[in-house]
Parts: sequence; structure tokens; C-alpha cells
Amino acid sequence: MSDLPPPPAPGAGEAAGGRAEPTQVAALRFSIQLPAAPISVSVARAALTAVAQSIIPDRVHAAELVLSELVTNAIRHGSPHPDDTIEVDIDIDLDRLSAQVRDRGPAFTLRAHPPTGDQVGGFGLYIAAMTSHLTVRHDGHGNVVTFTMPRALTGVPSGPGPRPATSGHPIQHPPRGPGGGQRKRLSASE
Amino acid sequence: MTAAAELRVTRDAGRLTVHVRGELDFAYEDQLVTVVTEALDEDRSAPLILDLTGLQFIDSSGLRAVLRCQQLAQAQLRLRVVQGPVTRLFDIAGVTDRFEYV
Repeated sequence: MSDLPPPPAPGAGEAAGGRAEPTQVAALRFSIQLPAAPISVSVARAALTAVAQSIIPDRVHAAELVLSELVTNAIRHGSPHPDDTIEVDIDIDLDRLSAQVRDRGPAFTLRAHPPTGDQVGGFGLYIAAMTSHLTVRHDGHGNVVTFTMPRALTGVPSGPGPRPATSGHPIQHPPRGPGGGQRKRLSASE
Repeated sequence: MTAAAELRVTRDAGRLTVHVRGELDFAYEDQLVTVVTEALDEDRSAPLILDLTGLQFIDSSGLRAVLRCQQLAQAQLRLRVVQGPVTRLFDIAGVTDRFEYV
């Protein structure tokens, strides 16, 4: 018992006095390239989860959902050729998680309406935008869709229910039932 | 490792239930619709239960599958859900009230 070596001195990257705290991963970046096939959606999620689970466990579910939507959108609408690939860059730094999903599709803009009536589709980018801060640009080859979310939940307990607004992006929940209220939709204009 | 959805149909007291477990996304959207279509072909007289309590993940493609099933089954379809990924997604999408539940 007594001949264990003394604990190492805090390293340069550790907070002073933070003996019990695991070393915080300051920044991490990785890229994956996926075939434009439906199975790639879960592969992208699994890759994100494998990396992010130990770093930002509170954010994994929300990040998986958004990434799932963006990769799905890239496969459905942004991959005109069978051998197209989807490129995903994931970037976790001290403050935020962001990911870029690049496709080969025609430019689209984000529109601010949720699907209405009895539509079965068009929810993907809407859900992504309700859960993160979302931007899109076209770089001449394809769309670059980026989502960003704060790395930490800002004082809001996690639990069931819609994700809280944490990114400065206005979150509006669409009204229940047909008809009224303001609605907001973000979707690919094909 | 890739996540998979597992689809299973059971009959209890003449009532058909389609159980969906795992992760429901783009890769399994059509498969769920096919299974539900076959279940409806088998029995158009009783409520068809879509049991989503075993789902660990669902996204808009999974929602789209459920909405397509609803279009096929119409008032015959009932969902079984628990608080979790399904209810969170339905809330975000604003579709909670589009379904009947058991």
C-alpha cells in the first residue's frame, strides 16, 4: 500500500488543484468519408458517439440526431451519382461541437417553415435547426452544411422533452394540431 | 459496428403488434413500411399497434416511416411509446398530436 509511487504532478494542461477531474480534452478533430448509402447514416452516428461519448456525454444524443439528419439529407438530395461520397468533419473544441457535412448536390437554401398538413417528409433539416445552429453554403462542388452546438449544456438539466435553446438560435416549437400559429421550416428546396 | 433496427410482428388476442427496436433511420424506413403493409394485408379489422418502446434512436427518416405507416393504416394505427428518443423527436417535430396512442 505504501510503496505506490506518488501521484504525478499536474500536467501543463490540467487545471490547478483539479486532481479528481479527468483531463479535459481541449480540441479534437476528425474526418470521415462515407459512401452515399443509407447505412452510412448510422456509421456517421457511431463514429461521432465513439469519440464524443467520453468527452461530451450530455451532448451526444442531440449531436447524433443532427448529424443523422445532415448525412441523410446529403444522401437523399446531395448525391446525384452512385459513387458520390459524403464528407463529414467533426470538430470539438473547448466551447463547442461543430460538424460539417459536404455533399455533391445542387445549392439549396434553408427555409423557415415546418412541414404542414399531412406531409410525411421535410422534417430533417427542420429538426436539425431546432436542435443546433445550422448554416449552409455551396462551395461550387456541393453543399457544406454546418451545425454548431455549445459543448456544455448551459445550466439546463438534461432529460425528456425538446432540447433547450442553448446556441443563441431561436427555438420555436411548432403549434400542435392543424392551423394556427407561427411556423418555421428549414428544408432543402429541391 | 453499425446500428440496426429490429422488426418483429406478434399477435396477441387477435391484435397485431409490430415491435421496433434499436435505431430507426433512413436505412430501415422502407423496411418498416413493408412490414406494416404486410401486417395490414393480414388483418384490416383490428387496431394495429406500432410498439416503439424499444427504440434507442429515431430521426426524421424514422418519423417519416411512422407517418407513412399511418397513411397506410389510417385510423387503424396506434403507437406505443415511452418518454425518450421518440417523444423528444415528436415534440421537436410538432407531430405528437398526429397519432393515436395505446
